[in-house]
Amino acid sequence: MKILIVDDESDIRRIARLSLAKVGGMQVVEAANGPDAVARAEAERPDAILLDVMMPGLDGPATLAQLRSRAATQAIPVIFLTAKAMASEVERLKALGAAAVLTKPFDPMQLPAQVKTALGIAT
Amino acid sequence: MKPLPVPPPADEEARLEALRRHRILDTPPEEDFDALVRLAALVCGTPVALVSLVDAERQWLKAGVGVWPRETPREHSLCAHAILKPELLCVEDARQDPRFALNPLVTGAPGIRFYAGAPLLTPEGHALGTLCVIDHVPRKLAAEQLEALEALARHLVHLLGLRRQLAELHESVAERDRAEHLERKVAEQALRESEERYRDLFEGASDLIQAVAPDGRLLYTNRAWRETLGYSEAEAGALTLLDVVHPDNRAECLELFQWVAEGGQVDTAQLVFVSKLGQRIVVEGSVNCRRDADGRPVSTRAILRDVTERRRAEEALRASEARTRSILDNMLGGLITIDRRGRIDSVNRAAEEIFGYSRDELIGQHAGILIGAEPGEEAQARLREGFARALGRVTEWQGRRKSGEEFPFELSLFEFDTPEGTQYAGSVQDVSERRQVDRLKKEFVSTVSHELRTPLTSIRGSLSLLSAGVLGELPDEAKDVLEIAERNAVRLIGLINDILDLERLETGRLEMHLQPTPAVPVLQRSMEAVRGMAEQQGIALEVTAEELSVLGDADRLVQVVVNLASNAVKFSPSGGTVRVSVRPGAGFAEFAVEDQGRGVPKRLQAAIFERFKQVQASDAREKGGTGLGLAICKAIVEQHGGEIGVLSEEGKGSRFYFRIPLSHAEPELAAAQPPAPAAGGESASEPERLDPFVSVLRGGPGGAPHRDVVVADDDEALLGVLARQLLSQGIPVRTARDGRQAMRLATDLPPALLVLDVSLPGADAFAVVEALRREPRLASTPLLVYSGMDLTTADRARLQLGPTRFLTKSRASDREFLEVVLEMLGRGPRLAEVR
Repeated sequence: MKILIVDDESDIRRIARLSLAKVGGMQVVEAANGPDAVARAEAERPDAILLDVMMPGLDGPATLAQLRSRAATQAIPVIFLTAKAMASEVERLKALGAAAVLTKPFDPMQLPAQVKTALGIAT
Repeated sequence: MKPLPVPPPADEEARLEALRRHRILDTPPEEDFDALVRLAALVCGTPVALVSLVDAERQWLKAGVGVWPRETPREHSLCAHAILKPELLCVEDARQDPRFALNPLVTGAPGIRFYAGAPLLTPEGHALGTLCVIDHVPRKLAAEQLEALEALARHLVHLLGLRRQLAELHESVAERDRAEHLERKVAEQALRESEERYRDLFEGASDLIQAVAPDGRLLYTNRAWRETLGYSEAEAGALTLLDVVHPDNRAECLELFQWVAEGGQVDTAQLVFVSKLGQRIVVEGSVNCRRDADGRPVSTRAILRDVTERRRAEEALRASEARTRSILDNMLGGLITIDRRGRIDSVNRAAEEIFGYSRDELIGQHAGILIGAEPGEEAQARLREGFARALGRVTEWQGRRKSGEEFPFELSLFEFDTPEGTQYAGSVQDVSERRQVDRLKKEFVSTVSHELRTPLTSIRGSLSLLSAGVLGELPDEAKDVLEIAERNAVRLIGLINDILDLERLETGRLEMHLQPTPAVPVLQRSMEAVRGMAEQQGIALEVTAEELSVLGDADRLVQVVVNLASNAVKFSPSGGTVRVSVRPGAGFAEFAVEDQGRGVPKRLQAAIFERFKQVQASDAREKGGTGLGLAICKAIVEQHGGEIGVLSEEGKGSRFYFRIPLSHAEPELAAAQPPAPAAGGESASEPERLDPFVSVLRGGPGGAPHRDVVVADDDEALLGVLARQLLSQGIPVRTARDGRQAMRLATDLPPALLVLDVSLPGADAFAVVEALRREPRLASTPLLVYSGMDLTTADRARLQLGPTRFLTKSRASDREFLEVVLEMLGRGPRLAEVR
């Protein structure tokens, strides 16, 4: 299972990578911004994308729109990762068409399971 | 022998009348006449010369030279003959003249022989008498002598005439003097009587009346004057004006009296007197001056009223008003009073500053000016309704300053009675700054939230991976230290979450959806959350619940119960029991959590619900709490309109309880609630909200809800942006470029929400709203007015359709626009936070 992690914070990318790889046994690729994420998604065709919402330049929702507008990436499930815990924000993000919305801080021991749940994979 | 009688002249009557008018008979001798007869005697050389006047019965001499009786009978008079003709009568020897031969004055003493008499003829031709010369011997006079005698006679007549005119003049003067004398006497009498009357009037008057002589002496003072100043009449008579004028007022007083003496008249003079006892007496009234016939001042008179009391009262009132005004003007809040007709009666300085108008610009204006309402019946009616709502409570209004700037203000009114009827006093608070601060705070909180969570994510994640041994086994001591670090990271995250929750609760921004909520599932969900913790600590959980429904937000109620229950578990001794219950009360449901822990001391039972207040300062560290849990519980309960409290005895445990109003929802609604999810957190089966919007959606034609949005804006670029934003949320959109198109789209298929720009071509938002209001199936369509300009309260009132919200394009971000749309579509937030 291949997951693309998109976050402008390298620390977060590394924790998530360790969590998904070491705890979840998943294959992980990374991108530090929106355009890079779109390119990596097209190249790597991951099974899911863990997408940070607040990023400089192309933010999470805008990146999602770009992914949806490309044939190669439009069907890839996207899981948002946000530091905004407000319920209305979560609701809004889900309405954009995300498979799930996870809030920061996340528990690296739980993250692989949460990703699988979002993708409808029994754990 | 008797002399022959002398016939009277033809004009006898007129002649006698003329003689009387000359008023010469029986008058004393006069020098002028004496001189003339001496001259006549001298000229004619006779021993006798007379001025003889012939009266009715006698001859009377005005002047004479020689010895001659003053008066003789007319029948003996030679002059009586002489006056019969205008010419001079000359008798050379009377004994030889038959007319006089037998005259006793000829025959006897004085023995007249010669006689020459020139008649004294008045200009009218009446002979009054003669100027005659007489001798005791017969003689002849030369022609020059006779001529001189006639000339003297003419002169004499002239003298008589002058004398007569003089006498007449004297007489008329005397007559006039007499008349004047009489008149004066009558007038003086009247004056005396009138003065008496006036004196009476003055004495009885309640005003102070005085008359002052030019030298300052008090000529007259009435009783009121004397009584007010405390002087007797005699004392007052010895005073001068300056004796009774207050020293501070003397200069002014002198000036006033000078002015009046020079011709001025003062009707509202004010003087300050000092009474005999030294009291200050303020008087007010008119002062004028009486003058004599030449215009010289005789006295200065004043009618004055004692206004000391009135002045004192006025001063007290002024002082009180000044005090009130000062208080009002120094108040930070605005204060406005409004009369029954809605007109502004007064404003304080803060109100002037808030609205940017001066006091003069506001007073008398209709209060609508403060909210920029158009004048007119409709606006006034709305204002009245608004005032009625604001009576005794705080209401929020959109105000308009003089500059045209709109701003939010809070208004609360109270009524008070005045002689002019009931008035309103309004306390005004400009809350634009507070709103600005709220906005900043919101942004700050959101920033903090993000900025803290990101590093914490890394810390906690790293610790979690390490302690789980994912990255390799660690020595036990390292594990211990890691466990401490992880536990504290978790606590820090909890603290941040609690602070954010509390902040949102207190600013009313935590989304709270009150709806009929069954109590039992709330308890079940709560117990799921604390079960693990209880088991770990060997605490038994005992739940007693009655089937009842409260008006509340299920997720928030679970949060409260979990908080109370986990506290109870934390503070219970091992092997103890925590009892959780819900039971109905009068109109409310009471949730309670009981433990057998150490209890809460009495002095802390109220304080414990405040932030960071714990029974022991070390509790947060030792028991893992944040110190905010109970404060959050209290805020949530209060947002539900409920109350929270604790009953406790130290050492014997505590009973925390909260009361929430019961729901009076119809049974089918309550029954329609889906069963509560098995566990907390995200759930697709969360109960659907029963807010008004949803009802509207369900009420659409054919029963099928139409969840699309009609957006109308004439700015095509903006229309595109809005549409894309909505579409990105999965919301179907129909767009209109003018008002008519918007109406057509709405009529074709009623939308779930109508988004209207105000200034649309064709038909503007006002026209669209008016038209849709007439359509029963569209009249309650939710409306979002998204306008380029700020709208007045009046405009807002006109733009009401179904549930209506207003956003100003320049102020609202895209995100806010979306949030409002989602909220209005009933797609508000659900419990979806993973912590």
